[in-house]
Amino acid sequence: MANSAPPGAPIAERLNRKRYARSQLSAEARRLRGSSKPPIPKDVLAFRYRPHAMLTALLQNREHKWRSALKRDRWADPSQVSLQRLSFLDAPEETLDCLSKLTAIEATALKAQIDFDFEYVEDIGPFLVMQDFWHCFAPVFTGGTIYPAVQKVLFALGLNRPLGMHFPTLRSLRDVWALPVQRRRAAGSTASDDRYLEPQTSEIAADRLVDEINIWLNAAVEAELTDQGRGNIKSMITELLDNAERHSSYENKDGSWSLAAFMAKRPVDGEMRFLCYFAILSTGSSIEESLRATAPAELSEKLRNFVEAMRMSKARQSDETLITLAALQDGVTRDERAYEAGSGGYGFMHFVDAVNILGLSNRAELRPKITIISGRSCIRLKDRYIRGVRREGEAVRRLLFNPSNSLGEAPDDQFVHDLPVRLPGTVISVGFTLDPDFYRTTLNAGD
Amino acid sequence: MPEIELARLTRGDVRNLSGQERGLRAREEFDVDALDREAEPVLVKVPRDLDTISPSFFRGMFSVSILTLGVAGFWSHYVFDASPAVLEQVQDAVSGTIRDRNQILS
Repeated sequence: MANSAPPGAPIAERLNRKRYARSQLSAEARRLRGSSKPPIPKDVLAFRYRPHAMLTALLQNREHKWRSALKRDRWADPSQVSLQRLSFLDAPEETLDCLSKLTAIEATALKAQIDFDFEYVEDIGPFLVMQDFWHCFAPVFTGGTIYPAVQKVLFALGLNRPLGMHFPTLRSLRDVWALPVQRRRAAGSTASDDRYLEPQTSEIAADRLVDEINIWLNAAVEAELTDQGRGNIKSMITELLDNAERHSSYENKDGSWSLAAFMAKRPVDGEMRFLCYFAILSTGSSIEESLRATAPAELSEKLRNFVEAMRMSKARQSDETLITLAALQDGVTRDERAYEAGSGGYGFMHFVDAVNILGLSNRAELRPKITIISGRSCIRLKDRYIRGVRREGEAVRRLLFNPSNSLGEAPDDQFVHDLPVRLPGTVISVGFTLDPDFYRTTLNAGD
Repeated sequence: MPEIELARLTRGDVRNLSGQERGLRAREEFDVDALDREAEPVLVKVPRDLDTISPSFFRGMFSVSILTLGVAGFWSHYVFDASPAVLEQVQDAVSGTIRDRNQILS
């Protein structure tokens, strides 16, 4: 062999020759591969594991699966994720699956691209979830594709920055009217005992949302809210945010939430429509966890009876989901003082009524949709189960998702079901359409 | 006439009052338990720019008064200086307080 040491050469010389041969071989291999070791981006290198309850839910054992930058495969091609649909309103399981995929890729890839392969934002809920955990993602997602209409909405909602997106070609926000994300401080951070005597973040958000809805009404149907309408919508939103604060952090009733809303004018089936979306995310405890942990004894007993009655009716949902369903009914509140005084537990149905009033239409395809995801439970209000109904002789509204709207039948599991993932908190997604034809007819009739 | 000045809660920063905890805390702050026992009627002054009192806030603040005084007693004891829209919300909240919520889960 040409580079073998001659017989009788000293040991050191023989070893040197071997080392030389090895280094030549490595250099040749590097040359054939085309470059030296691919560099690791500095921001990824510097990033350390950040826990987030939402991410742990989306990727089991994330803390063990997550790799530091040096342990990730430098030679791997950038991962590519195609998100076909992000909508809790239309595809809750698929949406959670997309979020799980992102979380899995973030845990191990050095570089990845996200392609938002849908033309329009059709639910804000998933984006609120993403902005909540995105700061705990290593900065491995760089680039990808996103439709102009999606860019427009994310920018208008102020979600591009928390999601680390830049839209250099975006020129106009025409045909989008938005209330950017409103947030309440992190759970448990309030120091003041007198916090309830000060103006609340939820009240400020409600004032802003109602101002925004008036802008939508003006643009879409040349109308605006009456005094009564303003009151109804504000009540609806503050009741909901109040629930979010109390449920998501039941120990101190001081949970965090985020909220956003937009209207977009879009072509659908050959006509221009005014599509409105609104979502609230509260992180922490689910509705069921909060209710189960803190309900007054009498209410706990009634919840048990509710679940038992549903079991007798052959309900296939988990206890958790049935209790979540019970929590939406009028008069159910975890607050002992409010329960005894009869002063709580009407907020959700007020909210549902207000959405139904805003989204009134004679056309079935334009009717509102609401999805609630809380813990492992998914409850979808739409079609024939879009609002609570009072039975004759009863003042309270009920919505039990069966034809008789009673405890004698199981809830339809197309509308009430368990999810494969337990989300630590609650997302409420809402979609409705402002129907100019309906408003014109109603206004002309002087109603 | 004793007064409850709700502007102390809005401070000119918000146009609505909401939340059952806030209502319960307001009850303590204005000592509504004592006002329930006042011989004279009590004036509840609602800021002019306030357009919404949510049912939860109202019931947090007044449901004990309604249960104690009865609906007629409540209306004769508490006089609301408010816009017609807010007054309507208050009327709805009073009737909501006396609804029987036990029918669903009993």
